[in-house]
Amino acid sequence: MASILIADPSNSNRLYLKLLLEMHGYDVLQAQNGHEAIRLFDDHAPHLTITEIALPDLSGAELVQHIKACSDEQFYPVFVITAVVGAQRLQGILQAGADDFLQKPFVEELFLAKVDSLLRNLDFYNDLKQSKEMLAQVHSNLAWEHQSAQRIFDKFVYGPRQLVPGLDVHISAASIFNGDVFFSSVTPSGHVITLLGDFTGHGLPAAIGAIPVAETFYSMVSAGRNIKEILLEINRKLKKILPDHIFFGCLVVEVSPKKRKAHVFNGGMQPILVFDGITPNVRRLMSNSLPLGVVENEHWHPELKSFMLEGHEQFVFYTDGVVEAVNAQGDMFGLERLVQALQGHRLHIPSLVEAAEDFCGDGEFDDDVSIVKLDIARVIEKTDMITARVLAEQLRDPSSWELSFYFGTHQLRQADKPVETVVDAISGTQPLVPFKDDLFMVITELYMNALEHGLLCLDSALKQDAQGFLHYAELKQRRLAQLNQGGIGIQIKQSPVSADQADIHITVTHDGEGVCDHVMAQPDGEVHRYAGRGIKLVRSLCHQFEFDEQGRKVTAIYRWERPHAKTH
Amino acid sequence: MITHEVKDNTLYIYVKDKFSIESFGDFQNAYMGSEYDKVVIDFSQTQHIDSGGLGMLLQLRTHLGEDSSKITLVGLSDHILKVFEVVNFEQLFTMA
Repeated sequence: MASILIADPSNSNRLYLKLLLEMHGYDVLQAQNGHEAIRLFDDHAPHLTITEIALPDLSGAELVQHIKACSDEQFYPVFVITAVVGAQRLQGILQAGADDFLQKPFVEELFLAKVDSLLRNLDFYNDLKQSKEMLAQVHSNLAWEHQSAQRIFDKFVYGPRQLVPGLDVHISAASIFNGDVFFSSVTPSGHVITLLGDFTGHGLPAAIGAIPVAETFYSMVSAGRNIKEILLEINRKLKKILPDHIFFGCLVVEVSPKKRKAHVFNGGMQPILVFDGITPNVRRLMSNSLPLGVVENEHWHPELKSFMLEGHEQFVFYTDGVVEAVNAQGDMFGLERLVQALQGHRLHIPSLVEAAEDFCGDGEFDDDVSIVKLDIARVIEKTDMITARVLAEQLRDPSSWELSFYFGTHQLRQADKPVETVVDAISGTQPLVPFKDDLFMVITELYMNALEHGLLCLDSALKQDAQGFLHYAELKQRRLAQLNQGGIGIQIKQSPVSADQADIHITVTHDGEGVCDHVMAQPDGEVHRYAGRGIKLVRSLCHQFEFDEQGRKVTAIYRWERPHAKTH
Repeated sequence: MITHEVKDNTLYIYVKDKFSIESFGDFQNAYMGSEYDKVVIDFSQTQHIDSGGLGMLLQLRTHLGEDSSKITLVGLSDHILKVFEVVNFEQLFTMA
């Protein structure tokens, strides 16, 4: 039940109001002066206060101010009932915060209606306050969720980034989540690879695509895949997941410090600037491919540029946030100002950022801004360090281990990628990324020989002309489908030779009908012959090759060695 | 997988994944079915090549009259380049 405080110096007035209100079900408190009213208010916090303008000790306005000062957390309406007629005094108390007034004498019904309406406002106000509190709670939950999401996001997108010598990076995001991505890493062959990309838009919708891109990039780089393969895989994924209006402009710069060669891709990004490092001259490598996530792989042919490096070049690449930064007049910072700012400050990136911020005036960018400089001289200077780190990460000490595989008839017929299985098992036992391709080659050749000549009894002489080739391929398929006995065994055994060297013995055996008395390696003079090349490849990669039991057992020994990296 | 297209009288052959005798049919279709002056074979998406694949390249070379200027091999990874060098293919093909 609602409680009402009446502050009025007149006993008869108070009694009248009290009876009237109690008759309509309200609880009534009474005060005959201002201080008593304040005390009662403080002790009982009545829902509504009804007051005269003129109180003996305080002005009504002072009482209203006191009540309103407590109305921070909750709403306490004040209703003025007065015999005063002066507009000025009425105005004064309303300005102090009174919510409504009525002049004496009044009609009872009107008085009661106003009391009712003020108390309804109270409910309304309290509902509003509750909603506000709920909203604040939801908001703080959301902020917390955003924060956690950002941590996950950062781990995915920035976590695997490797520090690369010669890199100077500025990144600023327009919201918590950045629609720009920048990755850098070192490939297993010791190349420095960087990728800068920009999703259309910014904030969460733009940033969410960065996670699969980062994962694809880093896992494929460490698996030794080349730029084109990586780009195609990213494009395939993005095409599948991105909504139509979002796509991914992206550029890749890969530098091989040993070969002094650069490979560059630019799909839908601002021109990559290449300063020669001596003169102010700058080359611009324009975008020549579609951005990623727009068309399916069949219609997308990313074009890479390759060129030799003098050794003192400086690459500068950036997202459009900086060139499209706008000042109060609506002018863009633009490419020419960017180039001038770079030339004017010896390619110092923080100075460029400062120049662009000064240009904008308010010192804040509206879009995500990323600027990256890659100093080739530094990369080349640190080549040894890069190689050493790559090898330290990849090559563990050689140890002794042995793996054994047997592919029975049925498995030979259905095995999709038998050699991959073996090489994956080797990699799982001892990662040998730099030598993986060699091992794959050797095992493939030995396995194919055992299968094609040992079990399927195919004759290489068939491959002497164009028709023969097709015939050979068809015959292989037919005989494999009909194969009903025999199998191929593969044994892989590693034995350490020294702290930095190990021999991998690869033995391939078969129990088929096809045998031959000696191994045919192609003589050097007959490069153009169609057959006999496999054994030559194996011999070139392995330091020992043994051919036993008329080819039923063949062993190749592959030796790997940890390249010596200087540690300065 | 092998795909191809003809642009400006040049046949472009793209080799994806593996280049081995299993793809001979596709490879032959690529160069038998169209008109062109030169051939560019793009290995940038090739992961592995085996001796069967090397034989197929020789086959194509014979088909084009053993003219080493007609066939260009591009997108060679360090590994694939090494394989070509072992079998002295630089004598038979143009490599870019």
